[in-house]
Amino acid sequence: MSDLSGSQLLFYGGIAVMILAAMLAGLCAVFFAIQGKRLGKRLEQEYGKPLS
Amino acid sequence: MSQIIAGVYEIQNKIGAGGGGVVYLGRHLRLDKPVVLKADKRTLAAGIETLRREVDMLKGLSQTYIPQVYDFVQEDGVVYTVMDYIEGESLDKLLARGQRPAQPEVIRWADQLLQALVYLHGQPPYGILHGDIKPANIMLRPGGDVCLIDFNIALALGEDGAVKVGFSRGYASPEHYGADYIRQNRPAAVGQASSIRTDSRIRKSEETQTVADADKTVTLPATSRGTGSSVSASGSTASKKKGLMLDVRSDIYSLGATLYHMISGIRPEQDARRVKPLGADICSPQVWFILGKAMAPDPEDRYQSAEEMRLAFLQLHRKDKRVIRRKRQIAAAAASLAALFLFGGSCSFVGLKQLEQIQTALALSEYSAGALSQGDVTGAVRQAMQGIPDGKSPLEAPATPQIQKALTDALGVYELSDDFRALDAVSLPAAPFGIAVSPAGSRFAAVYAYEAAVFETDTQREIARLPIQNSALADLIFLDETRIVYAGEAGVSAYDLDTQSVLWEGDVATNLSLSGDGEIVAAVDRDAAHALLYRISDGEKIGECSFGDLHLPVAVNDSFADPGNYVFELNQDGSLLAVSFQNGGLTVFDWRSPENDRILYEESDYQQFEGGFCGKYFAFTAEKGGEALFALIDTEEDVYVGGYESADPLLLQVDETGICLADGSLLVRLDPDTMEERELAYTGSVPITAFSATREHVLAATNDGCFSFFDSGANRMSTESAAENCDFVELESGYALVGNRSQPNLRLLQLEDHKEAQLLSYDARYPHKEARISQDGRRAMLFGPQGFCIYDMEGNLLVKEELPDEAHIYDQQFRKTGEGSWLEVIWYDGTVCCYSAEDGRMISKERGQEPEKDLYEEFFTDKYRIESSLHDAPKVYERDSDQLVATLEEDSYLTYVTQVGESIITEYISAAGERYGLLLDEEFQKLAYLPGLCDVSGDQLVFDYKSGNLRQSRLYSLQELIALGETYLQNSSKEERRIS
Repeated sequence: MSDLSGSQLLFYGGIAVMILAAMLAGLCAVFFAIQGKRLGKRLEQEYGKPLS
Repeated sequence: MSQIIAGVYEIQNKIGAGGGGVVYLGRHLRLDKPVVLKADKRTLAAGIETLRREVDMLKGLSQTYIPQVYDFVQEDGVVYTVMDYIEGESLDKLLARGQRPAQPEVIRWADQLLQALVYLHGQPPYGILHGDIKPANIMLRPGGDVCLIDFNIALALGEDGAVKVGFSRGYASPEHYGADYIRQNRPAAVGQASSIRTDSRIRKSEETQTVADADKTVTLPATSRGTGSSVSASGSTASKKKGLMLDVRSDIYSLGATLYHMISGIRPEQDARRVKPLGADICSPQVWFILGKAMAPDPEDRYQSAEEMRLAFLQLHRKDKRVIRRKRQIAAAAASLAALFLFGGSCSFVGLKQLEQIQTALALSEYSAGALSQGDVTGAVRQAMQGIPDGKSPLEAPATPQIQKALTDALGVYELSDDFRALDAVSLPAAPFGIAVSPAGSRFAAVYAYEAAVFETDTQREIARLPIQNSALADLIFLDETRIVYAGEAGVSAYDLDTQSVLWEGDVATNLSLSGDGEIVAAVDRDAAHALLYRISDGEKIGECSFGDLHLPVAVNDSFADPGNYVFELNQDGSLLAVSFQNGGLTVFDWRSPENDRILYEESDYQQFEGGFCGKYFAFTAEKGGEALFALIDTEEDVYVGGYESADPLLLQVDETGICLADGSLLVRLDPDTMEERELAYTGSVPITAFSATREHVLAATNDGCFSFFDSGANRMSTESAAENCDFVELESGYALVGNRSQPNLRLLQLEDHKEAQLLSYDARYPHKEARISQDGRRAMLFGPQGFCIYDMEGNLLVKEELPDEAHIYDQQFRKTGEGSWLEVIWYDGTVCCYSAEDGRMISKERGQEPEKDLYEEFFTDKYRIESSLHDAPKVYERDSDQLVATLEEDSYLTYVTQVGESIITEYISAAGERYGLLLDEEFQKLAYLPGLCDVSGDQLVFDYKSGNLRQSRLYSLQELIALGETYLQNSSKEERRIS
C-alpha cells in the first residue's frame, strides 16, 4: 500500500520525468556544445576555415 | 634587353617561354606599371584577325583570380598580348623545392581556382575553357592567394565543346589524349552532347599522342583554335589527328590533378585509370573523394561543373562524417529527450485528469449523500453514477471507493432491515397547510394555498388538483382509496378520484371531521356557530349541531396561519361531536339529542386542544403556557377515567386502534380500559414534535429536524434528517409522508421488508448481542452475556440456555473451524467454556490465565495484521514489514475481520452499542456501510435485525452496482416521462 494513489503517481511521476528530461537536455546541450567546439577545431585544422 | 613596343611598353626581360610563345616582363611607360607582354608564337601561322578575336575575348575577363588582359599590339610582325603582371611564384616551383602545402591551404586555393573556373566557364556564349591547368600555370601571390595564368591555349567553347589544342601530361584529362573511358553501358539519357563527344572520342581513340617533355604543354596548330566545330588537329608528336571535343570537365580533371599533385607531392599518372588513391595519411578521405571524383577517367563520373566541385569543397565541413555523426547524435538525443519529455507530460496530463476526475467523484459522492439525506434517491443515484467512470478511455482513473460507497448507499443494496426507504421527493406549488394519506396508502394529498393536490403514491403522479377554501383550516379527508371529502371552494365536496367527478356538494365549510365508520362527515365554516352533518353516501344534510355563541379558534388571518391544535372530532358512529372553542371551552355534542351534550370545559385558559374518540372513550389533551393536561372520559358513563398533567407538551393520536400519547421523548399506547401503557417509541433526549402510529410501525419527528421509524417492539428502525422540523408526518399501510409548513415539497418513504433476503425469523423479544451462523450453515446462534439460543434455518428454536455468572463474563467469541462451530465464553477468572452451536451442549471447560482487561485482539488477512483493543483505534500492519499502513474506525470496537476475495469486511460495535460492518477494499478504503452485519458466511453477508430477522446478501461488485444504478435511472426516467 503506497501513500500515493496511481493517479498521483502518474501526475507527480510525469512531472519528475519531465524535469529529468529537461535536465538531461541541458546536460546534452553542454556536452554537444563542447563536442562541437572540439570538432570545429579539428575540422579547421583539417580543412581550414569554412569556405564561404 | 630593352625594347619599346608600340611606344608604350618597354620590354625589360624574358620571364618564360612555352608552347604558346615567349613571355616578357615589361613596363607601361606612361602608367609606370609592370606588365606582362606575351609574344604569340602563332603570329605567322594564324591570321591577325583570329588573334585579335582571341585577345578581345580575354580582354573582357575580369576576375580576382585571373590576370587582366589590357591590350593587343603588333610590332615587327610579332603580336603581343599585354596583361597584368602577377607577382609571386608559380606552384610548380614550390613543388620543385619539395614543399608540400598544408591541406587547408590547398583547399583554400582550390576554392579560388574554382571561382576562377566558374567565372570562365560561365562566360557567354558557351564559356571559356582554360585547357591547361597545372601547377606551373598557377601563381602564388605574396598574400597567399593564387592566380590562374597562361591562357595561351584557352578556348572559347562551342555548343559541343572545343577541340583539343594542347595538353600537359599528367594534368591533362584523358580526352586530351584521346583516351576513351566512357563506360559502355551508360544510359542513353546522358544526352545528345555526350553522344557526340563519344563519337569523336571513338574516332580519336584510334590514335595516341606521345609527349616527350612532360612539363611542356603540347600546342596544336592555331588553325583549329576557337572554333566550335570538330576539326583535324595534329600535335608535335601526333599524326593523323582527328577532331576531339573538350568541355569544362576537362578543366575539372586538370584542376583535380593539380590539386592531387599539390596535396601529395606526386604528379598524377598520365593514364587516369592508374592514378593512385591518396591514403588518409596524405589527405582526408573527404578531400580525396573530391579529387578522385574530379579525376574520374569517365567525364560523366566527374563533377559536371566547376560550381558543383566548388560546392563539394564548400561543404567539406558540413559533409564530414564526424559532423554528420554528431548531427545524428544530437538528433537522436533530442528526439529521445523530447519523447521522454512528452511521455512525462502525457503521464502528468493523464494523472492530472485522473486527479480532477477523482475530485469530481469525491464531490459527487458528497452531493449524492446529501441528496440521499434529503430523500432524493433518484438524485443520489444519478449523482453517484455521474462519478463512475464510463470506462470508454483506458486512461481514466478507476472508480473511487467514495463514489462506490455513495452508489451503494444510494441503491441501499446492503440495507435489508424493515425500513422506510426514501421513495422520492414530491414538489408542490406551495408550502402545504396539511397532508393526508388514504387508508391503504395508495394515494396521498396535500392542501396548500387555494388548492389541494392528490397524488398516486407509487408513481407520485398528480391525479387531481382541486380548488379549496382559502384557509389554512381547510380540510381534506380520504373516505377510501378513490373518494375524498374536502372543504371545496364552493362548499363541502365529495369527489371521486377515479372518475374525476364531484359526487356531491354541501355548504361552505373549512373544518371537517369523518366518523369512524366513514358514514358521516361533520363540517363547520371558520368561526361559524354551528356544524352541519352530512351523510357520506349522498351528501344529504342529516343534522346540525349548534354551538350557541361559541366558535372554533380562528386566527385573524387564517389564509396562511395555522391557528393551532383544536378539537373537531366525530366518534365512531358519528353520533358525538367533540369541539374545542376559542374561549377554551370543550364540549362533546350529542347532535341528535342536544340535552345529552357534555360540557367538559365551559371556559378555560387552555389554548390548544387535541382529542378524539376510541370506542366509548374520549381522550383529549389541553395546553396552556407550560402546562399540559391529558384526560380520558368515558362518554357512556360520563366519568373521568383518568389522566395526568405534564410540564411538556403532549401529543395525542386517538382512533379506533387505540390512544397514543407522546410526552416529551416517550410515545406510549394507552389501553383505555386498563390505563396500561406500552412503549411505542423513545427518542432519547430529543422531544417528539409530531408522530403517526399504526399497529406495526411508528413515525416520530423530533425537534432536532429528524424523524425516526420504530417497529412494533419500539425498536428504532432508522432515523432520517430533514432540513427543518417536521410539522406533518403521516404513516399508512407501508407508506410515510413527511413535510413542513415552510417548504413546498414532501418526502415520501416506503416500507421495504426484503422478504427475498430472509434467512430466518426468531423471537424478537430475545435479548442478545450477536447472532452467528454455524460453519455448516444449518444453525443460527444468538448469544449475549445472559445466555444463548440456537435456531435451525426454518426458524425453530432448538436450544435456549442461560450462562452462569453473567456479570463476570469477559468476552464471547463464536468460533468456526472445519471441525464445527462453537461459542467460546471467557470469564474474568480465566474460565473458558465452549458450547456447541449444534445442540448447545458444553464441549469443554478450562481454567486458564485471567485475561487482560483491554480486550486486545489480533486479526489476520493474507497481507495484513490488525490490532484491536478496547480503547485504541484498530491499527493495520503489513505482515511482511510490520509497517503501520492504516488506522480503522476510531469510535467503535472492532470485533471481527473477514477477508472475502480482495475485499476485507470488518465488524464493529459502536459506542451506542450498534453493530455494523464495513466493506473495505485492499487499501482499507470504505466501499460500503453494512448496518446490522452480524456474520460473514462464505461469501454471504448475514444481517441481524431487532425485528427478529436474520437476512443475507451476497457481495455486489462494482459492475453489478453500476448495472443496478443504470436500471434504476432508466426506470426513473420512464416513470418521469410517464408522469409528464
